Parts: sequence; C-alpha cells; structure tokens
Amino acid sequence: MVYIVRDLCVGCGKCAVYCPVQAITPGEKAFVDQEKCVECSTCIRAGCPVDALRQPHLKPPRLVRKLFSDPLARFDQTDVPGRGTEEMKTNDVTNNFDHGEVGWGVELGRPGVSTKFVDVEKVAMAVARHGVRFTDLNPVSMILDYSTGRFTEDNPWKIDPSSIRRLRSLSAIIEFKTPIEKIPEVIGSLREVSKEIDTVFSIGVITRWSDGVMEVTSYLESAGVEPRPNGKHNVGLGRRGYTQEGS
Amino acid sequence: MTHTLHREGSEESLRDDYVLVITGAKGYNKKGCAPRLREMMRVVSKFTPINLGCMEVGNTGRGVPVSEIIRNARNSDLVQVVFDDKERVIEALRALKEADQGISVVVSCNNDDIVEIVRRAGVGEMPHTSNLSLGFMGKVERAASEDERLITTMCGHHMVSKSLVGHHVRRIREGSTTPLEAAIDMSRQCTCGAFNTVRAAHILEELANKE
Repeated sequence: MVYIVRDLCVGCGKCAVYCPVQAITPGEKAFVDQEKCVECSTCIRAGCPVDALRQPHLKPPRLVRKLFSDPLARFDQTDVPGRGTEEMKTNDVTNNFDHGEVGWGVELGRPGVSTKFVDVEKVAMAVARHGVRFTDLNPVSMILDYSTGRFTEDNPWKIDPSSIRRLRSLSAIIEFKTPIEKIPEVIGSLREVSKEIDTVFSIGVITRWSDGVMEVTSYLESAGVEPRPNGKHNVGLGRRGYTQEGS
Repeated sequence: MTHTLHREGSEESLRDDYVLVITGAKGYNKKGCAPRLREMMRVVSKFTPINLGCMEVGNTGRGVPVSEIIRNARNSDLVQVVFDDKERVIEALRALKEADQGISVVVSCNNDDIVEIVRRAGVGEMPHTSNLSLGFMGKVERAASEDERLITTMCGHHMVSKSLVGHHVRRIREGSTTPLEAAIDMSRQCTCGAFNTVRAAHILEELANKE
C-alpha cells in the first residue's frame, strides 16, 4: 500500500494535488488515508521531489484495488491494459455485438469518484435480474456469479465475497449485453439502483448501424434518455486472417 | 476500457477533439499484429497528431519520441492518436484504409460528424459499430464540478485529479504558468496518451478568466 516516509517528506503537498481520489492529506508531513487510497500509483508517477512515496508489492485482496485502478496494471486474462475489455473496439473483427443486440458498460465510480465494491455488486444484481449476458474476460465478470450478479468465491484470487465487498477502486466496469428491446427496462433498473449506492456510475451503450442510423436510437428515446453528443465509432477497417492468429 | 467515451463539454468544444484507437482483436488478429500496429503508427504520425502513444510504451504527451513508441509497440498494445482537426482525421483514415493492415480503428468524435468522416475518407457509408454515452447517475454531488470535468474526463482512467485542475487554474491566474504548460503537465498523468493537450489549454484559459 502507498505510504509516505515521514522522515523524508518535506510537506510540499504535491502528491495530494495529483491524487485523483483525495486520499492524501497535505501538511507538515503528508498522510495517506488507506481506506480511500485505490493504489492507482498516480502520486508515484507525479514524481515526489524528495522520493518519499513508497508502494510495496501488493498481495490480494489489496492487489485487487491496484488492478482495478492503475491503468498500467494488467489483467493477464483479458490481455488488455487497463480495467476494461476490447468491447466494441474490435467488433468489426469479433462481431461480439450483432444486429438487434445492445452492449452495456456500466462503470461504477466514474467520473472520478471511486467506488466501494459493495456498490458494484448492488448494480450487478440489479441488471442480472434481466437475464443479461455478462461479458467474459471482463475483470468484474471474473468475480461475479452470472445468474445472480452476486460476488463468488470462484474468482482468480479466491477471495471471500465479504472481503471483495470491502474493496475500493477508482472504477469498475460491469459489461454485458441484452436484446435491444430490453433497453427501457434495464435503464429503469439502473435508475432505481442509482438511489441505493454511495457513488456514481457512467453508462455507455454499444450499437450496430442499419439503414444509416444507430439501431438503439428509437429505444433510447422511448426510455427517455438522450445520449451525449460525442461517442466512439468503429469504422470497420479490421479484418480476420491478417496475422498468425487469423483463421 | 471505455477510454474517451465519457468526455464532457459542449458540441462546439468537442469539435476540436478526435481520438483514434488502433488495436488487434484477441483470438483473431492480435497475436503477431505488432508490425501492423507499427506501420499504422508510421502512417498516422505523418498527419501531425497532438498526442500519440500506447499505454505501457508511453506517449508523446509524456515526452516519449514517436520513433521510440513505434519501435517498442507490442501485439497487446492499444494505440491512441489525438487530433484537433477533422480534415487531418479524414486524411489519416484515408491513408490507413490505403495501408490496409486489417487492424480495427475506432474514432472518437461528435456523433453528428462520423458519417461524413467515414464517407469522405472512403472507409464506408457508415460506421460498423458505435458506443454512446448516456451520462452518469447516482450521488452526482460527489463528482467534480462541471468545469473541472471538462478537463478530468479527458483522461478516461481519471488519472487527472480535480485538485490538479484547481491548482493549475490558480497558477495561471497568478501568472506562474501558462495554460499550455499546465495542459502539458496534466497530459503527463494520462498514461495512455488520449489526453487532448490543445483542447485542455483552451479550457484552462477559459476557466482562469472566469470570475
């Protein structure tokens, strides 16, 4: 866990300014609140002028904070740097999201608030009731029972669910897909569960195009949701069979 | 990671904000794709992006030379390239289409612009797949202010803190730094290279001039 060597600290407060979750209290000697700290390493990368910050090698369950918070910490299972997946970035190759389907990314703690995992489980349980298909190889999926959305002991670190609930990270993305018709009901459940959590979550939806329009358009309208003006668009330059892995 | 999806700002402010992401698909064309990623970086770097890099290799915003980034790119890397001009994005996409490396490319931009971009670049009639932001819910009062989020959301991993925004706005007002210097410092926190330094400098200047 990140800590400050008090004998070295000169109290300049730089680390506190750079900390994304305000876990460091500046003062004559800066202090790290270990409950708030998500092990993202931003303070280390910011460069302490007297090299007073330390982050020893972490073990589970504390390690999980880092895996979900430091973009340079890699989940071996996903082969993607950061805490997400390839989601729609490679959909022109994988076709993970087909016509008539919608992909969801519900990111707990974003923007910039951080999240306790007890809230991650609440949201996962709320969407699991709709029979969603959770995304394999997603870091959150690895700790979930797909049928209920509850945390399971059958996770890569064999951590007890009660320990998982006490964890905190900068964010955690629940990814799943549903038939496109389920958009209004899933959004309804997200609105309800948003009242029960002590953080925020950002919502993203993935859609295919048909006849020159995004397929989700009318469903979002009927759910009373207006997307932000900007988004991400896979332009379709990917192909299978171009590399050693191609079929 | 949803990298650039939840960037905030008005449509007008986001008009100078384009991010390309280039990456191989696990199980399909990722293994052995590094030479293709390198070639695609060579292609796009000719169109003078604001920022270019891969998360674990580094990015130009953090002071890593383009040649070093290209040389060190690996199969698993996610290449990010930031532009502030639509015409250059179209030219870069057209060149990527001609280079025909078969690796996926995602463009982050205003949704109203994407059809024009893919058509004029000769890539297609419409995108293959899109990702839309529906905003955020919950204890919204715990999030940074709207002004701070204009900057902090430019790093999708939220490595840029709201405290850093306030710190640099104060320093700009005092005259101890410039908006561009402050934006460059912030871009160093964004490990994947998606931070738009030029847009950040404009926003910081506006925030510093606010009462």
